[in-house]
This record gives sequence, structure tokens and C-alpha cells, in this order.
Amino acid sequence: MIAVNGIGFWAPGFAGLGAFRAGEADRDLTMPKCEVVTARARRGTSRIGRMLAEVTTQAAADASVDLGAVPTVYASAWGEIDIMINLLGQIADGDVGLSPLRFKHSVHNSASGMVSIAAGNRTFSTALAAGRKTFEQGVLEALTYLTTTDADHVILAVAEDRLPAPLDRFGEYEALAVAFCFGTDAREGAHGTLSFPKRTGEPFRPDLPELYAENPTAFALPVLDALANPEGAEGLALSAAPRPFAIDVLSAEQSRTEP
Amino acid sequence: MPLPSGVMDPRRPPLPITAAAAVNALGRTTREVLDALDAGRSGLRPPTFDVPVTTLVGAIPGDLDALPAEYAAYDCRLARMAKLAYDEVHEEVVRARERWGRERVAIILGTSTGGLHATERAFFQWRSDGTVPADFDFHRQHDFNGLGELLGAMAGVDGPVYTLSTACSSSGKVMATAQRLIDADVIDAALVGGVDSLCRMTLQGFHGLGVLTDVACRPFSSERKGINIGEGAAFCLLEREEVSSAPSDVWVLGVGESSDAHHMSSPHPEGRGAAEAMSRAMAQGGVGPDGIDHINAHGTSTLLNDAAESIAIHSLFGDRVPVVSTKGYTGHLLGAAGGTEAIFAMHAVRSNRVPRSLGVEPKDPSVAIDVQDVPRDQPVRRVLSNSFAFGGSNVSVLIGERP
Repeated sequence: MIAVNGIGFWAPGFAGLGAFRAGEADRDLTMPKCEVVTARARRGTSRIGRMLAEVTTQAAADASVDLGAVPTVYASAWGEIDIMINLLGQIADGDVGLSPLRFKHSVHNSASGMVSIAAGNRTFSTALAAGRKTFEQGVLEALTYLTTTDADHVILAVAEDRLPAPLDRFGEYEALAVAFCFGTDAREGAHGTLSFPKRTGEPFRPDLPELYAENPTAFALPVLDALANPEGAEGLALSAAPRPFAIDVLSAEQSRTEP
Repeated sequence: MPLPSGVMDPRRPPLPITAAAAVNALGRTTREVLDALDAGRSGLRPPTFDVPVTTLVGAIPGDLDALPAEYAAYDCRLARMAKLAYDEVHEEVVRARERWGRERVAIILGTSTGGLHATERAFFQWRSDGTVPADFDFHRQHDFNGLGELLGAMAGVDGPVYTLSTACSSSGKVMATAQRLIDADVIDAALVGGVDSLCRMTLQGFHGLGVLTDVACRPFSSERKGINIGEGAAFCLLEREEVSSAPSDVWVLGVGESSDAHHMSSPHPEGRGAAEAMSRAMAQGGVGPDGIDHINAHGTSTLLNDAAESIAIHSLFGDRVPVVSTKGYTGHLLGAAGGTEAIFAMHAVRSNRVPRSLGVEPKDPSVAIDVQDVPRDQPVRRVLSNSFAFGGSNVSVLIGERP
């Protein structure tokens, strides 16, 4: 069993999971605070970089783990696409040398670098992409790390910002970031557990909220629902490959009754 | 020897490399690439495409064939390069699929810029006339995992398909991901590797950082001025067990990963994270510094990288181990660097030969490690291959003969 000991959440309008579940949108909230990173270090960073840093920090705090020592997996299908398009605009405008501040944050692992530097974390961190399956493959990368090392926790942070023009024609959705702090043992206040690995289960094709439906991170939302609602967890399985490789999501209540 | 900090990986079973291929500026086949390496011949040339900076690049020679019609939606320079290398290992991948089952073979790739070359073309047309090319398919060409999907389809495998993108450490870290997936009994084999293509954003981005050289790069030399960028594709097939009818002579013995936690684009000045990555790789493989015969350095030829990396290497090995940077042959292949240099490390083991480190003379007197511009024939049982990246992401891969 893998415990979900911490959760982080951010979306435009919602500073955390509580506000999102309550449906209490703050229309002025368009950028995460991202206070773990200094104002100086935030220069040149994108919104998705700050979203990933924000939810990672939230999940660590929720699970009471040290952000300076916990291994991290960052997952996003299109990552720093906003900075890439900004840099291409600089080229189109005739700039020869591109902005160093923007360029160094154009890499997919920008958030990994930001958080590890801010927290002084020198251990394992990675960043991955897998198109529409980014969330599921991120879970796989995080849980294989947790179960094959002596780590007691790992944080998976997954996020997608809106696609900028001209790429918005390939997908329109609202931005969303979610993080899970997975642990080998459930701590007090754990949100629930996952059974892993399990090689059965149907492909994971849940109905997603329309606002986020084209955002690959939205596949985390049914997992959040399952953790919150015992009935909702029944039969829910992440298929992390095209064929059955599944992770059952059990609520805290269910996991107490599991053998 | 600095002690690694944080989580420790356990010892891992060594994984046989049952097939490998690389294409880059040195050639369009693995044989051509390794022959050029043996001959000490650089592939760096002036760029043949429009870019407003003076530099040399490592471009794959000649034209690249379009993908077959059934994969046309994926067709872009990145995919064409990848297919050129993949075709060399396809038969072995199919063999592994038959051996282990479709669902038990993964595709784990590394890239830094993915299909950005295709997106540049689309963006510049959009800025010009408000349209994007009809054949531009964002999800299959730009998407970092589009190439993984393509290779999964060509290989006919149904295991996990995902792409690590940690800039220049990407295709070293794929080896560690494959180890863990196999250890966790999720898969039995993985096609791992790295692919990156030349594009304007990387050239002009490194120019903006002030680290792009206008001549051939000279890692560890006192006259080094910066990096050249290159392109290429490299793949290794890793399996849980070797093929009994074709025993493997080169294995992945360990992989070490670490974070600098220092700066987004500059290494820790004493190479702290680099030394940790190397220490972790050796610890995982169960060998100490005395068991290492050669190091394929990250060796980008920037002032800061080479200084920090040489301090890191010296802290572990003194000046005992022959060190080479192969960036002077291929340019810096970014997300394909680790995978490509792992194949150079394999070749060193197979040939018992340390290649020349092009351009090192006159060597920087502050570089206290053993780097020479001459090939050396000597026993090479185990090699560390280093890759370090923006964000302070470090990986070192331990490759060697049968354990």
C-alpha cells in the first residue's frame, strides 16, 4: 500500500484544494504566491513553473515532510511552452541573443531546479512528459522510485498552463496544478492509499470537468474525488500504460478496511 | 570522497545492453559514428541553415528521409533522426517484445527541446501570415512524448511510454528510470535513449547566455571559449536478463542522480552535485574509484562546467583516471548527450581504447585531471559517463563489462 500523505492544488481562482472543493472562486487570483522561491529567483519564471513550485510546497507541508530532502517528480505534457513561445517571439522580432533569464527557465525541469535551489534539496528530482497520459506516467515514475529505494516519501507535481497563441488552436482549457506526497506509511491525516503495483483494471477514462477536460492534469481530479468520497473510489484504476497496468485508488475509509 | 546526501538507492542488478545505435554529426550509422570517433575526426561544421550567430554545429550529414506514409502525422526532423537510429535496433526490439510480451517492454526517451524545430517553423509562418502549416501536428510533432508514441507504434509495444526532459541530463536519467521499472516488476525490457535536433532557439539562447563559441569547442583547454550545439539520436535496449544465445559484453552497472541545489544555469563551483552523482553510480554498481578505468566527462567546454567537473572528478579519482570529453566530435547533444556518450563508453569497453579528447591542448593548468589529445590503448573494464544540466540536474551512468 502507498499512502497519500499530502496534497497540493492550485488553479486560477483557487489557491488550494479547500477553495476548489467549496467552489469558492477568487476571480482576481491568476498567479500562485509561490513564496518558497524568493522574488529575485522568480524573475524570468513562468506561471507553470510557479504553479508546480506552489503545489509541491503545499503537498510537502500537508504531509509534514522536509521540502529540503524529499525526492520530487515533476510532470507536464507541454511544460514551459509559454517561455518557448516568448523566446520564438524574440527571434521573430530580430533579437540575436535571447534573454538569458527566460532561456534558463525554458527547460522542462525549470520548476525542479527552482524548488531544489530554494529548499537546498540535493536528492533525486526528475521531470517528464507523456501527452494525455502525463499524470498516469508521472504516478508510475513516482511510485517506482518510492518502492525501489529507501525513500519514505516522494512528491509528484503535475501541471499544465493554457497553450499560448498560436498553439491554443490545439487545445483550449483552464490551467491546473496538483501534487501528491506519496509515502510508504500512512501518517496521521493521510488522505487515503493506493495499491501498487497491480496489473489489472480497465483503462482510466473518467469523465472530466468541461473546463479542464483538455488539460492532461485533469486526470488527477477523479483521483482527488476518489480520495474524498469512498463510494467514488470503487473501480477507479489508473492505467499507466496502453494495456492493464493499474493503480487502485482507495479512500482513507476504504483503506482502513482493506486487509 | 564526499558522502552522497539524502536518499540512497539500493544496489541494483546490472542490466545487459542488448542493442544500441547512435547517429549524429559523426555519421548516419553507428558504425560511421564509431569509426569517426576512432579516427579522431570532428563532425563540427558551420550551420547550413539560417541563424544569425557565428558558430559551428554538429548536424547529421545529408538529407533525412521522410517517415513512411502511415506515420506522416509524426514527420519532422526529430522523428526522422530518431528513425534513422531506431531502424538499427528494430529487429532486437521486436525480439525483446516476443521474449517478454508487448506489455512488458517500455519506451523511455530523453529530450531537451523535443519537436521545437517543427514548432519554430509553424510559429514563424504564423507571425508572417497568421496561419500555421497544414502539416504541423502539435500533439505528434512538438509534444515531447510524440516521438515516444511513434517509436511505441513502430516497435509494436504496449508498455509504458514516457519522456524525461531534464535538459542535458535527460538521456542519462532514462537508464535509471528503466532500472526502477524493471526492479518494480512493471516491465522486463526498455528501449531507452535520447533525441534532440538543432533549432534556432537553442543556438540563440546559448548565444544570449554568452557560452556559444564561434570555433570548435575545446573541453578542458586553457583556450576554451564555450560550447557547440549538436543534434543526434541514440538508443539502448536494456533487458532484465541477457539473451542466452547472444551473451552481452557491456552492461549498465549503476546510475547516480543528484541535484546541485545551487543555480539554474551554472554548476556548483566545486562540482558537489557532480561528485555525488558519480559516487551514487559507483555505490549502486558496487565498485569504488579504483574500479573505474575511464570517464566520459560532460565536458561542455564552458569555463565554469569544465572547472567544476574537473574538481569533482579530482576529488574522487585524483589524476589516475583517463578523462575524455567527446563534445569536440559531436557538439553538445543536449537531451541526446547522455545516451550518445553511453554508447561511446560501450565502445571504449569493447575496444579497450580511450579516445582522444579533441582540442584539449594546451590543457588548462588548473584542470588537475588526466585529459589528453591522444588515444590510449589500455584495459577499459568500467566507464563513468557524466551528464549535467540546467536546474542543477546531474546524472552519472556506470557502464562496464560483464559483472
